[in-house]
This record gives sequence, C-alpha cells and structure tokens, in this order.
Amino acid sequence: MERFREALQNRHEYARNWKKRTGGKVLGYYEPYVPEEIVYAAGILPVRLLSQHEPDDVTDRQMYGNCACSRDILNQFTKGRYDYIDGLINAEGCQWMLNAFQTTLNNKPDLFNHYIFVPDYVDGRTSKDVMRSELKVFKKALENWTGKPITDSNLDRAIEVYNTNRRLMRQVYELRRADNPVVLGSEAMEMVLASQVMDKEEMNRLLRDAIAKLAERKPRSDTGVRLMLIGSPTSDVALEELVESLGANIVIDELCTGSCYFWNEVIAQSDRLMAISLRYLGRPHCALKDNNWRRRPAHIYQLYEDYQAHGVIIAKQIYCHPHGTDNPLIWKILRERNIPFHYFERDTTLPYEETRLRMEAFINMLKPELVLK
Amino acid sequence: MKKQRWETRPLDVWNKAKEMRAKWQQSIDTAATERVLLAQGNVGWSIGFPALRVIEDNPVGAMMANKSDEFSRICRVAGEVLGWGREICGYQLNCWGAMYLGHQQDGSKFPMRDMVIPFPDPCDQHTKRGQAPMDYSPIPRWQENWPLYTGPQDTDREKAMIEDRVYCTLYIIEEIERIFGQKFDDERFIESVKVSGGIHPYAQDVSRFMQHIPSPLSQKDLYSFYTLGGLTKGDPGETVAIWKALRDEVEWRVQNNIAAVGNERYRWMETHPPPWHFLKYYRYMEKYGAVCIGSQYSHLMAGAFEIKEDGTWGPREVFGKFGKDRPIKTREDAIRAMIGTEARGHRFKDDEVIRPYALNDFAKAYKVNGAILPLWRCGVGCTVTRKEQGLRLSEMGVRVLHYEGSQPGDRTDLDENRLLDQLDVWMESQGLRKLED
Amino acid sequence: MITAGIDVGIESLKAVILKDGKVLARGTGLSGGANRAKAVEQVWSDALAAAGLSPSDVSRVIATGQGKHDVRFADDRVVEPVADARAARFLYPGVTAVVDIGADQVRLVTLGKGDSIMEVVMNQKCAAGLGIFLKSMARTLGMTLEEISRLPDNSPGDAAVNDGCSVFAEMDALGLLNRNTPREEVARAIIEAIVVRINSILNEKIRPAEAATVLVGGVSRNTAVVNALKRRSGINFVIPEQAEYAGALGAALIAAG
Repeated sequence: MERFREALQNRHEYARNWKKRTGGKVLGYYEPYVPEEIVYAAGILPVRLLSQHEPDDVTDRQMYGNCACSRDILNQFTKGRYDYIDGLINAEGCQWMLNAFQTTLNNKPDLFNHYIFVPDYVDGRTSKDVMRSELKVFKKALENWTGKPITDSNLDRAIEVYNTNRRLMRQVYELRRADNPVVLGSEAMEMVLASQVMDKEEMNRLLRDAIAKLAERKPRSDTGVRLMLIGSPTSDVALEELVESLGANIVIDELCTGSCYFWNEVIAQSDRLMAISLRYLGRPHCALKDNNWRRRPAHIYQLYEDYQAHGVIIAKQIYCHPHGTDNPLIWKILRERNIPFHYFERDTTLPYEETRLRMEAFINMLKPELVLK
Repeated sequence: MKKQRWETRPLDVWNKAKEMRAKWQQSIDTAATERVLLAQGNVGWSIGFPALRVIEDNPVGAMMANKSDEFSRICRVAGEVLGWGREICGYQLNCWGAMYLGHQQDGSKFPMRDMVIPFPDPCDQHTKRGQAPMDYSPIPRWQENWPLYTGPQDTDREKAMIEDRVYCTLYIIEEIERIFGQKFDDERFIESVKVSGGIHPYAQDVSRFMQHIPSPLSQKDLYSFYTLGGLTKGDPGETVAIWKALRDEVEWRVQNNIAAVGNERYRWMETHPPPWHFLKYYRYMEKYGAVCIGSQYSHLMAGAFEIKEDGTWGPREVFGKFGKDRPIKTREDAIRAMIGTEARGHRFKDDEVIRPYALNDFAKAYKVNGAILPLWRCGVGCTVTRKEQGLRLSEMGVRVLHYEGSQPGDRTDLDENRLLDQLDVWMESQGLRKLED
Repeated sequence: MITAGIDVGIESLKAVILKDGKVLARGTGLSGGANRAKAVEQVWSDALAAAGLSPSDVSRVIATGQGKHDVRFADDRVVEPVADARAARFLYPGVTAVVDIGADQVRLVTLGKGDSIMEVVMNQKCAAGLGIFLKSMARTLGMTLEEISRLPDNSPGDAAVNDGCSVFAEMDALGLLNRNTPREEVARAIIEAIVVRINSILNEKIRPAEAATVLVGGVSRNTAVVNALKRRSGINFVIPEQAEYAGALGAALIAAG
C-alpha cells in the first residue's frame, strides 16, 4: 500500500522520472471526461491534476470565487511544481476547471493545449455523434503534435490497459463489501487516486501484486461503522483517515476522483472512437452532467445497498456549484429512504477540530446500527 | 451644482416599453387560470406553441431582489434548508425558494412550471437550470447542448455541433406535441423568425450610438430595454416596432448631443449583471460626472460584436446564409436560421483563450476611462475570468475597480456602504471630486 | 500656516498638527465604536493642548479614514489612499508605492508621475480585519502584541492554520493548542497566514518595487509580521517613524496645499 501512497504524495517526482525513463511527454488534464485511452495510445502519459494544500498568495491575481481544487492547481503551476507538464487538456466539465485551464495557459501560452466539448445532455441521440466528432479532432491534434499517427492497434492496446485497470480496481472495491474487509477506505482511495497520476501499465502490475497480498491479509473485525462518501472531488485521504481514527470506515464512495473514475469499461467495437465516446458518456454521471435523466440518485442508492453502508457523508467543496445544485435532490432521496447522512463543506484545508467533532457525532449516532443491522 | 455641460432629456419611447413589460407580467400571472403551459427556460421557438409561456428564473430572481429583500431572504433560507449550497446563484435560490414556500411575494400562488427547457449553458448554474422544479415534482426536462469549440475555424467540427443542436430542438418540439397534446404552429414560428431578424439592425445601431461622446444612453436605459426581447415573444412585430422607435430617437439624440448624463466627463463600463437591489450606484457615479456606457452583457441585446478589419467595432455575422440567400420554408429551416452556422465561441465562453482580452476591444471602441468588474462570489458565470480581464484592461490604461458581493440577486454579502466608499476611493484617486452632493 | 489632519480608523484615530512641514503635535485614541464623534473631539482637544493651540489657530483641517464624516469640524475630506500617497511622497521623495496595513484594511497604492496615483488595490473581504485578527489571537494565546512582535522569524514549521479565512484560522489555532502545540509555534503559524494574505494583495496588480516601497499603518509596528512579510514578498519595506500616523500626516499636508 505504501507504493500507492508514495506515488500519490510524490506524484511530481514520479512524472519526472517517467519522462526520463521513457522519453515521453506528459499531458495534464482537469476533468475525468478526457479520453485517456487516446492520449495513452499516442505514447503520452495522461496525469490528472490534483490539488495540494499549499498556502496560496499568487492566484488571487487571476482568480476569484474559484473552488479550492481549481485554485490550487493554478497555485502549483505558478510555483513551478508542474514544470514537467508538456501540455494541458480540458474536456468540458465544470467552469472553474475550465477557468483553471485557461488561466494557466494565459501564463504559459507555449504549452500544447486542447479543449474537448463534452455534451451536458449526455443521453441525447446526437450527443454521441458530437462526442465522437470531438474525439476525432482531438486524435488529429495529438497526431499533429507528436508527429506520429495513432493507429487502431495503438487504441486497442490502450483500451485493454485501461479496461484492465478498471477491472482490477473493481476487484479491490469488491473486497470492501465484506463484513470484515481486508482493505480500509483510505487505502482503497489512495489506490484510485494514485492510478490517476501513474502509468496504467505500471499501476496494473502494482495492483495485481496488491490484490494478491490483500488475499493473504487477515480480515479486520474492528473497522466499525460503515460509511459511504459522496460529494466533490478529493485529492487526498485526510477525511478517510480521520474517520478511521474514530471507529468507522468508508466502504464505498461515489466520487469523481473515486469509484466514478473507473466504474465502467470501454466495450470494444470496430469504431474505436465511438466505443470510447460511449464509455465516457455512459460513466456514472458527474453532478454537472446529471441533467435530464437523473442517474445519480439510483446509482448512489445501489452502491449504498450493495456495500451495506450505515450512513452517508456528503462532503461538498465550498464554491462547487454542480454539487451545490444537486444537493436538494440527493437529500430528498436519502430522506425518503431513511438513509442517515451528514453534510458539510470543505475548503482548502480540512479544519481538523471541527471535522473531527462532526464525524464523531455522526459515527456515534450510527453505532447502534452495528448491533441492529 | 455647476451648469450642465450637455443637454439631457428623458426617452420618449420608454412609456411604450413599460406597457409591454406590464402586458408580459400579466400573461405570466394569468397563465395558470388561462390553462396555458408554463415552461421554465428560454427558447426562441416558443411562439410556435400558442398556449406556451416561457419564463426564466434569472429575471424572476432579479425582480424579486429588486422588489423585496426580506422576501428574497426568506426564499433563500427555504432553499438552503432543503440542501442548496449557500453559495449557489441567488437568482435560483430566490425563485425556487418561492416555489418551496408555495407563494410569491404578494401572497399569490407560485406559478408551478409544466416543463423545463433550460437556456443552454453560459455557466454551470445555467447547465443545472430548472433542476429544482424537475426534482421537486415530476415534470419533463429537456437540456440541450450548447456545443462550442475554440481555436481556428473547423467546418467539420461545426457541422456535428450544429446538427446536434438542430436535432435537439426538433426533438423537444415533437416531445411537447406528444406529451402535452399541443400542435406546433409552423407558420407562426417561421414568420416570427423572419420578423425577429429585423430587431438586430436596430439594436446594433443603438449599441453603436453609445460610442458617441456624450453617450445618448446610459446602462440603466439599456437594462430597461434589454429584457424586452425575451419578454415579448408573443408579439415580435410590436417588438421590432419599439426597437425601431428607440433607434430613431437615439440617433436624433446623437445628432443633437443630448446626453444621458449632463456632466459627462468620465466614461466607465462594467460587466455582467449589476446588483439589482442597489441600482442607485449608477446615480451615485453620475455625481462625479461618470456615465456607465454599458457592458458586454447589456450590449449583447444587439448580438455578438467583433473588431472588423478596418478597426471599427461591428456586428459579428453568425447566422450564415439562412434568411438571406436561402428562403425559410420549413420548421427545420427556421430552426437552422435561429441557430446559425457557427459554433466557434459563444458569448461568455467566447474563445476562452481570448476572453481575457474580449473587453479590451469593447473598451477601446466605447472610449472608456474605467471599468467596474464586480466579483460575485456565488455567480460562477458572472465572475469567471474577471480578474484576468481586469489585468488586461489595466495594461491598456483603463482603471479597474473590483467589488464583492454574493450575486446580483442576493443582497447578503454586498456591503453597500463599503461599495460607495470604494467608488469614492476610485474616483478621487483618479483626481475626480464630486460635482454634486 | 498651521494645518491638521485627522485619520479616523475603525479601531483608533490619529491627529497630526503641522506647521510649515513640521509636526507640532500628535494625538491618538480609540475610535470609540458608536461614540466616534465624541472620541474625535477628545483626541482633537488633546492634540491641540499638546501643541499649545486653540482651534482657531488651525487654518484648515482635513479628515480621512473610514470615519472621516464623524469629524464634523473638518473643512474637507480625502480618501485614505490619497492621504497615504501624500505622506509617503513627503517622507521619501523617491517612493513608488505605499502599503498601509491597518486594523481592518490593507491598501496598496502605486504612485504615478507627479502627484498622481497609478493604482489602488484594497483587500477583498476575506482578507479584512487582519490587524483586529492579530489582536484577538494574541488574547486567545495569552500573549501580548509585544510578545508576538518579538518572536523570531523562522520559516514556518509544521504547524499551519488556514490562510484563506480568519475564522477558520482561529479554529485551526485552537485545534493546535488543544493538541499541545507550543503557543509560540501557533503564533508563528498565525503570522504566516496573515502575511500570505497580505502578499496576495501585493501580487494583485502592479507588484511594488523591492526597494522604494513604504509600509505604514498600525500593523507595521509588529516586527514579527514585518519580517515575515519581507521574507515572503522579497520587498525590503521602508518604515517611517510613527508609521501609524501616515494617514493623518498626509491629510495635514494636503490641507497645507
């Protein structure tokens, strides 16, 4: 497990070493709707840009009202942490991330960059055609940049590597369904976060090894209250570790940086670009894309039931507008089904004392479920 | 007070505009009793359904903020209690809070919507528009895409995007026919598209005339007319007539140097909606002889603009050949004419790479000295890239002021006294003292 | 010609009486909250007494500061950046920028050619009240402002508090104390959070020059904050004596013409 933590916490060093080792390029991306398979097929390492918690006295000049996730990414770029990045991709997601993308480019106009429109009406009949058209343009742009074509066989290989990663992560998550799990929420979350900054092939090797080792672990009977975590994207496991120190364990999440990242696979078809389009349009919806046909409530409820959770933590990032607008429906659904939940807002840092108090109270409220359920 | 530099006089055409707004308000209020359908949203083809009224939560939220701060607060609290983020758009919180409470400010029943067709997204909030009524009671919602791209023109890319929008629009119309048993009046719709195209030349002239020194109109005047286009979909002919009347009157004002602000000596621009509950700050600035010549937002009534090759500021042609070289005969023709042929850029995301510079062209054309760029903490579309736009304007020598607030429809975080102090600091630090108390 | 300037801030007010470019007397006191007008009268009267003058000896009085309208006898009022700029130019003719850190506001005034001002940047609300915050945290830590001022400036340790919001910062500080972090370390974390906020304002538009930038206002007397700010910003601030009287001095100079 330490290897995943190491890769996540020292992700800049990891990427620099990868570049040295392979001679390849690194593209940073903001939203999980970026078709990573196409990037990987071009021999480029796609890296999700994740916030760190650093004092910020440089972004106010260019940003106002941004969520901490987007702001801190600019902070890191300005301070040179991401100096190894060769280019940026933004696949239409939320506006703050689009802003972070553009603002960084205003500072670094020489970076390769590309914008992909992703339909907000993901279910529309012609939405998949728009998406496919965008992926075609994106593929061409990458080919022009690298000077090398991306063949069908490159794409097939990339799809297989990514699908393997998704299957392996699902295996890890399945282990969390056990009454006495062998893997803690913080560990699982670190794995999925690490996979967003690592070369997937290398990650798959580590995952296979970790799954084998997990099979030898003794199931834990002390993990306590089972919690589900939903809300805005995260970039570390501070909340998961806090919860574990208080007699509970996060057994499942519905987070953009968590389960939603790997939940569904690309189903192969001869039109590879269409196959990839369908995968990204069909993934568990980000709050921003969950519009006409509401899928989030049913998906959340299904996960809650499958993983036998006792309660839900909704951790929204302050200034996160998509999640703020989705909240009323999520609350309504959870209340209708008598699912206990606790809602709070996070910011750049997790205020330790206050969060500890909240979590402790919520967990204590749910403790009787350990006996009753 | 010193003698005025320029003559001023009120607009004659304003009384007609007030009549039109009152008619619109009445039509919304009687929607429920007249058994018409109420759609949350804003679509250009609603005239094809005689029994359909469209209403956006933006103007509703803004009007609520302007009329009663107390009621708006109660509505926002109702929303927050049900889970809305505290920092979500005040327009929505006002409007949907009233829905949760079940009544409007005057005690009358809240007009529940029958369907949702949100205006495609200039901001994340718009993308989620109408989520509240749809989540609250089961009504259909049809989100369209608003596809756009940045970078050099790419007609293939555009084609996929335009086809998607055309399909979505046709689909929504057919669904309304099916679900609500309404018949779409193609003739009426086609006629309105042909006629509505007539507004643009007049609106463009009005916009251009404000480059004149002294400005014949101020931002307050623009706001009075700005929403007319959206409010009067029921009668495009009347709308065109009023725009022509406004255009003719403004042209006369330019020819005779009739000013909006008699002591105009400082021209400033702003961005995005103002604090609707505190419009008196325009009057406060006039005490310094400072006139607000508008914003990119308010001038958008005239459509998209751009700098032409000869350096002048003129309308950007986005509607292609439809309506000009090709006749509009069918429903699809009319929809294609409405949508246009360009998907490159969009008003608020107008090529994000150049958006930080977008205001510079406007500032140059309108000869502004200063710019007020509000920072709306809860308005993502309002605020995104504003700081950078401020930097680019400063580079050009335009003095920029930023002030904070929650959102144009939410009075909570706007410190009105602090804003007035900031305006004093801004003016005096540029060597300008008040001309009147 | 004898002139006077009165700077009425949110916490304290200052008066300066000037004759031919020389300070005759100064006066200071608390702003008095709701009784500001009364506090103004008291400080004015103290300053006149210190100078051995009566009100009619003073040709012109200009008020500045947030409470300038409470100086009912003022002949005119000017905004704070204008007063700051005038004082800075008088004290240091080659100055290019002046930073004023008071109880509730942080201002950066970039000077232009002649008497003009090129740009004014003021804090947004999240950075408001840094001076008041520092005072309140001193009380929470059981330290005086002088003790905090004497803390050596080391680069920040592991202890950190939220640098975006003083309410969160206070909660973080209490959490640290709760976990037995030495109060001096907590104080340093608070100072670091404060200077991050100030440096953010300095980065806003036109960055002040590393030399030739004057620092004034009440917080400029806190050595620990000033040293941390110098380290963080790279600016070697010039701090005049009696820096907290800069606004009043500027107003008095403007009154003299």
